Amino acid sequence: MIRTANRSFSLGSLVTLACALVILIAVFALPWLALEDGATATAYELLSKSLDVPARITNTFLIIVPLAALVELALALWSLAAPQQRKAISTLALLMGVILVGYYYGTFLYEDHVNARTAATDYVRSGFVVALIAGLLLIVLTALQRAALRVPANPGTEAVALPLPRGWRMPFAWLRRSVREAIRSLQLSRIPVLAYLLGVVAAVELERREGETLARLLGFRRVPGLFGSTELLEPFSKLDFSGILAPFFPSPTDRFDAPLRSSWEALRQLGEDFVYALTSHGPREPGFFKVLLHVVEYDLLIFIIPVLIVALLLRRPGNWLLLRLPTWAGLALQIVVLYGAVSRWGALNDYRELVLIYMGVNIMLAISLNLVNGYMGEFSVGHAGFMAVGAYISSILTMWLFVDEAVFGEAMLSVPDWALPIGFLIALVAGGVAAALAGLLVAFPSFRTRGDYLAIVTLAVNFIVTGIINNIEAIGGPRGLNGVPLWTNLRWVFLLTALSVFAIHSLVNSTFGKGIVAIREDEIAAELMGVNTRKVKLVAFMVSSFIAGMSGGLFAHVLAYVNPGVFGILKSTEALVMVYLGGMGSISGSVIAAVLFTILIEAFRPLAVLKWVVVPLILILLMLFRPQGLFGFREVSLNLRGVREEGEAVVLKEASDGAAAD
Amino acid sequence: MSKRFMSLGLILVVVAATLGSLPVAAQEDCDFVGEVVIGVIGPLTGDIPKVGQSTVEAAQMAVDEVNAECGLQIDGENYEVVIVVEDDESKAESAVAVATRLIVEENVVAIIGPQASKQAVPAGQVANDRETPMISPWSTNPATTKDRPWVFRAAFLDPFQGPVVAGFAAKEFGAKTAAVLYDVASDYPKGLAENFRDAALASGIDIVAFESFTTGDTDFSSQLTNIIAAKPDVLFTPQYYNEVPLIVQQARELGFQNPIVGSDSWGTPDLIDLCGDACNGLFFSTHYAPDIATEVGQKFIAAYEERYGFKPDDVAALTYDAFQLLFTAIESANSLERADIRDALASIELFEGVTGQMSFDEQGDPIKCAVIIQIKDGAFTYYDSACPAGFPPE
Amino acid sequence: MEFFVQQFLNALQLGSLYALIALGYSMVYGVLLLINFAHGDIFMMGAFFGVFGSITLGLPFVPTLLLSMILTGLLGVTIERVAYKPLRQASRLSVVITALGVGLLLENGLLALTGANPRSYPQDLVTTKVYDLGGVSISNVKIIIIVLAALLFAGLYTIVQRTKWGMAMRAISYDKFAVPLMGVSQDQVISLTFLLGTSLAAAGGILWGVAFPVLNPYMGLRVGWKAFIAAVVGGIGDIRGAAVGGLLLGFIEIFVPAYGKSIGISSTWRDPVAFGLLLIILVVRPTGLFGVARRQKV
Repeated sequence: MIRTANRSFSLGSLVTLACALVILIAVFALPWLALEDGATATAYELLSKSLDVPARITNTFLIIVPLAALVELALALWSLAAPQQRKAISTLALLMGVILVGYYYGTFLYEDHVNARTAATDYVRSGFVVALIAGLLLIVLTALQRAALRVPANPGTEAVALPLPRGWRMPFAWLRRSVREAIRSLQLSRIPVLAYLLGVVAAVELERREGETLARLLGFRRVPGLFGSTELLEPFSKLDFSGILAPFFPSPTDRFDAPLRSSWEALRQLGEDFVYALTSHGPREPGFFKVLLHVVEYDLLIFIIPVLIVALLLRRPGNWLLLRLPTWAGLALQIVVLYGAVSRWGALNDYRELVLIYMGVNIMLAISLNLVNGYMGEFSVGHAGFMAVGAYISSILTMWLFVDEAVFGEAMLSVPDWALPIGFLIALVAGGVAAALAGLLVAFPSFRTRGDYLAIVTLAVNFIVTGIINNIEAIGGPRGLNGVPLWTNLRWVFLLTALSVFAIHSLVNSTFGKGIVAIREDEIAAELMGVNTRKVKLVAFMVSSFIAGMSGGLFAHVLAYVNPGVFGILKSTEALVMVYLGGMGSISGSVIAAVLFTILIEAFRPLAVLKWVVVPLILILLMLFRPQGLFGFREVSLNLRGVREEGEAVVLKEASDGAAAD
Repeated sequence: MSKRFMSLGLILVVVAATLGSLPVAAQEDCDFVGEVVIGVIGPLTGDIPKVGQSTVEAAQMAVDEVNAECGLQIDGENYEVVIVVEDDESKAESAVAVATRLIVEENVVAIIGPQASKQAVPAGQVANDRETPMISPWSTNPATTKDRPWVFRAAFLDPFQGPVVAGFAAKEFGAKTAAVLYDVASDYPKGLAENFRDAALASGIDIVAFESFTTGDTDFSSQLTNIIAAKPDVLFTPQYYNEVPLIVQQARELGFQNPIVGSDSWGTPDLIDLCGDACNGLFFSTHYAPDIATEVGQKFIAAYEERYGFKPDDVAALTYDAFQLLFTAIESANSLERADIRDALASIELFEGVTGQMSFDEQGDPIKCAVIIQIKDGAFTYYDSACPAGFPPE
Repeated sequence: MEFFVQQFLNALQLGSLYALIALGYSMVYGVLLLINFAHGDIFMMGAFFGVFGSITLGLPFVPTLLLSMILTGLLGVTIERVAYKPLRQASRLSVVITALGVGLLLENGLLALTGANPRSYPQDLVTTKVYDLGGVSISNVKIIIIVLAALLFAGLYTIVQRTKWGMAMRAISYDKFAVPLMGVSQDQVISLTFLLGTSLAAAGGILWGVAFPVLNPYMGLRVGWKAFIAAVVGGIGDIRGAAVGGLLLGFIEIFVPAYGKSIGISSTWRDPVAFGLLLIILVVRPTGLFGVARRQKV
């Protein structure tokens, strides 16, 4: 059995080798591209001599195909030399094949066919065919060989090996399995977080240096903002769904004579637009498939591959270092590196920085709500109210005390510039304290009122807070406060977010914090066990609203404007969505959910009206398939303190290290 | 979801994609040498989606019209106008995010929008800080443009409109007492209500009831009963067209027979359809009257109705004007530099728009006339007009 | 005196509408312990199906009402089957969040599929007549709403208290594990509850649309939250509580602006005062007006 597998594998390596050579020859020796003046050039010449690439040729080809071919070549050689490495390698070889096929679909099929420079495209076409055939061969071959490997070793009976995967859905399941195996063989979880973070730093630096060039080569108009996620859905921005049901629900201004027919017309038009959006429509508006490929390529080349390489390289040194550092020093080091990565990434433009700031604010909001909803098991639905209190109090303080503006007149205190950050911090803390006091409005009723009744109390508090602000003319009422200094920057947000995460983490893991969880599990039992439930509730609500208030203060100082309408039920709903998306009782879940939610909101912007159809759909599907949220009641286990490598003596400490990571 | 469905989906997508190789759009005759990218921000979702819809429709029309005439001419070359539309979701934070994105990522030369003050005030800060011209077509909060040289608007301000309506009420109905019903949580109605109150008191009209409600309310019976008990000669309600029918109908049902007057937020043809006979005979102040509109206005109304099948509202008219202002500024600046465009915008004199003649004052607010419209036989009809002192210059 | 009667009628109208919507909240909660946050948007769908019936099909008032109640009821059952049923074993709050998602999906989906123009019913659906009774104006719309709401409530009360199905509903809310053992299909009872609750919301939606004839996809948002508050203040799970809570909310919202001025509160303070009152009620009676504190076993 095994021998068969080995033999088929070395055959596979040989074919892989052949494919790779064919592709490389195709790229470097054949005249691929027709230039303006009728001359021809190979792809290699185009790259090396930096000739002007004809506008309509997709430049991806010049990067991906040689790269894939080179990797394939290396793999084939390596596997010929060391056949026992087969799993990871054959999977990688397969991935290369997939990329080649994907490339074929992405760029050749959807390239503009009506084109002034058809001749050049024609040249390219033959090359694509070569790439396609090579890729297909690779896939079939690897599939055969993997299937052969998987035939159960059944001693005695000569099993009839079924070389091909059975059924048409097999390839995907099988692909997933192979990828998972390949990933497992890399032992990614043993790599310390520090190494990943350093990888991210390297990737960010790479993007700052080469991002622009690569983006232009790939046909982006600019460096993709948030890993290409904002570019991804742009092709769908023109879709108009409104005609489908409008004929059945006419407004007084509309007149539809034949609702069914006009609805069908709209549906047909939409279908056409949809296909159009998937495929290319000119160089300025590339189709979805094309954008998807370019985004994947960009992220692979700039982020994923460099991060993985650096992380794999730094795995051993990282583990070594972390094991020898005190825990706090290791954590501090990782936080510093994280800040470095985040700030370098955000420094590229204001939009990225703004998104990062929103992320931080959302993280604070989500973890503070999680303390009440997840850890204590209450159902607070009016969290934005506390945010409003914090936002207003801190804005009033900074405007009144430190800056000259129109609402409160000149600054009360004349502080030197270097002391302003201290003033800002004091204002933020004051906002938090005020919010914590507002939290008492919920905390006291919670002694007697529970469950859904308490939910109404929180909701009422939300309405009351915004209602009161609307009525105070001195702070602008519904017009809001304008002229809040723009003081929130990434440094502040990062610092306060990290502190909040740390504070909540310490709180829920302390003895006192166990009381919070005890209340969730059974309040009466907790009281019997000696938990002072009133005190615990007071502290939990106040800490939660304190952090929400601080996040509100940061939020106000980045909008440079506050308005009671900002902190309505919708904001509370967003906080709820983040908490339950990430999972109750999980800090890491809330953090990840807040980050994902923020990116999702930005990425879905091109969908306009559809955005708030897709977001709830995702929420519903997630809840149906993972009712506990992404990480309900558990934390993501990260290798923060280093693990011992094989060969080193295994000590008991390792077990506890793995469990304690957060 | 079973893997079977996932695979099926993938295959369907691939098949659909393979089938869909479509011809590209027809080439224009104009030889465009470049693009002028303009950002548009509107509330496509959230409280007032209709405003967002009008914004996009008017913007698309303005751009298609200018591109049909070979775009904008700069140094004798044709530049194609391209708009990037963003949704502010009726949220301040989204307005800040999309304004930043438009400026730093899309690299727009100028921004048209956001419409509501709640979003226009913070977005104006972003535009001003990053030195990008911005025109908010519809925002009436003074803070939007105040001390922000880069921010302009197309609508007139509450301190002008309040006295116009108060003066009209005194002149037309000989009103001695008036009542106001407004939304306390929305800054346009609140600002206008207060300006009307001050102007009315100054001109000798007594405000006998000053009642409020909250955004999203539909039942005004309590406030209206209070108002009726106070027996005002006239009721002023500066509300949006989707609230006015409710207010008017409920007032009539509760037995209020005196005139009801409104402001420019009434100026949407939907109002007539939603309100039916109840609104006949009522008056409001606004930017232009469709029946005596200028040539520009008539052309706009006809083209809009031809294209979308219904008459434009005030948002559409103001957005269209904002675009025309910007186009004029870009061509007269003869440059795509943001600073040049700003200077050209600030120096525009007596611009002839759909909503009438206008110039900008030093704050970037327009100086223009208001007209009084009467709703008569299901149409907006010109009744009177009022202009700021010394405008237009003879 | 006329002033008081007038305001009383205003409050009765608004309160009846809130009560109709709160009933659906309360019924679903009673059976499933689920806060159906999509209820406000189902109410909105009811109003929109009314547009479909009255304008697209040209039906008169009563058939429109029935059609909308049927369509909305089916929609409610479908939502329950697709989105809530798979989660019956999961944590209670994941269903609540799903409901929140369904609500967002309904309102934004409808906005995306039908456009942003506000809708309205034809004027002759219910031709408004105003009667002047000694200084008090009362319209036929007000009478229809108050009477119809009372009838629907009485009907629902009879179903829940007098029929076998109603007994099954009450039994499930009492002990959802024992009831299936008695041979009663839990799924059927839950579906019936959704059918009744959502069709009541549809009736509320149509009546709302007749009284306040400007409809948009977001109309259910605020109304839904308010009805939820009404249901909880009344004691969620109890249909008498929902009716009383709805009326109470209506009365507070009308009477605070009506009489607040005499004690120095202008109408701008309506929301803070109204919600403050509700908060106090909940603090004094932690399980609402009609709610019974369930005994907890340790």
